[in-house]
Amino acid sequence: MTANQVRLDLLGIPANVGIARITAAALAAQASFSLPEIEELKVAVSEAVTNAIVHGYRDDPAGIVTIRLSLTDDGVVIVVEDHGVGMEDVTLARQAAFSSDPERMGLGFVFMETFMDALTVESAPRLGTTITMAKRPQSAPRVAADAR
Amino acid sequence: MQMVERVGAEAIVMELAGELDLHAAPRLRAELDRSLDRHPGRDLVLDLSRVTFIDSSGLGVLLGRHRRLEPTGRHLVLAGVSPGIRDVLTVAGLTHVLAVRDQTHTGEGVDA
Repeated sequence: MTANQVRLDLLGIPANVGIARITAAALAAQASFSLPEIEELKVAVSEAVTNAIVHGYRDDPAGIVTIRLSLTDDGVVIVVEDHGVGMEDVTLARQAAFSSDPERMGLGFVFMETFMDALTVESAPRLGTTITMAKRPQSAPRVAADAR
Repeated sequence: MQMVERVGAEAIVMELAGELDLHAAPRLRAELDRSLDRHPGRDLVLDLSRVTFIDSSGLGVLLGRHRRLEPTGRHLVLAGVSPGIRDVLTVAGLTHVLAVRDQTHTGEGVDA
């Protein structure tokens, strides 16, 4: 059951990455996430939105990054979507250090995979990229499947 | 993001505050490089005790300064590193590359 949901349509500019983080943190604070878990969530969201701006829209400020956040009994689900250049090879792009810029570490997906409990990436050239991430509070009671 | 520079005989100490992300990265890079250019021969100590957030964009700037300094025999030191910031550095593998200290440059501890 969805307890809360938020949608952001952000201009793809660096100043808006922080807005995405704050929104995700505020939503997660409505659940039983610990402060360290919320900090991890903020990093994952920051990486996903940064990827959309830098790689999806190649820093074109007119690009729109859509973020849909849902709070459920299981935690949060966050979808970050752009309609930018997309990726030819998602598997290759998810590998660490895949970046032509020497000061871009290429670790965005590493952080998302490490700090979130689930991550899927859908992308196609010229169609953009959709990143779906989920995180469950460690303190949340886990109900056995047959008890549902 | 705020930056305060203190220059000593051996090191430049740059106290950073705020969030080090894609938005802050260009100015962070420019200011650190300007300081390194103005004060040659000194190590660079970044006091991160008032940094509330860092992601790979901010880390990229730190790593870039390390790469600039290392061949010259100068060192980059990260001081006042909180547990949260240390976790991010660990995921990035940078605790094996950069000098990381929990205490600030004045020897104060950082609250967990």
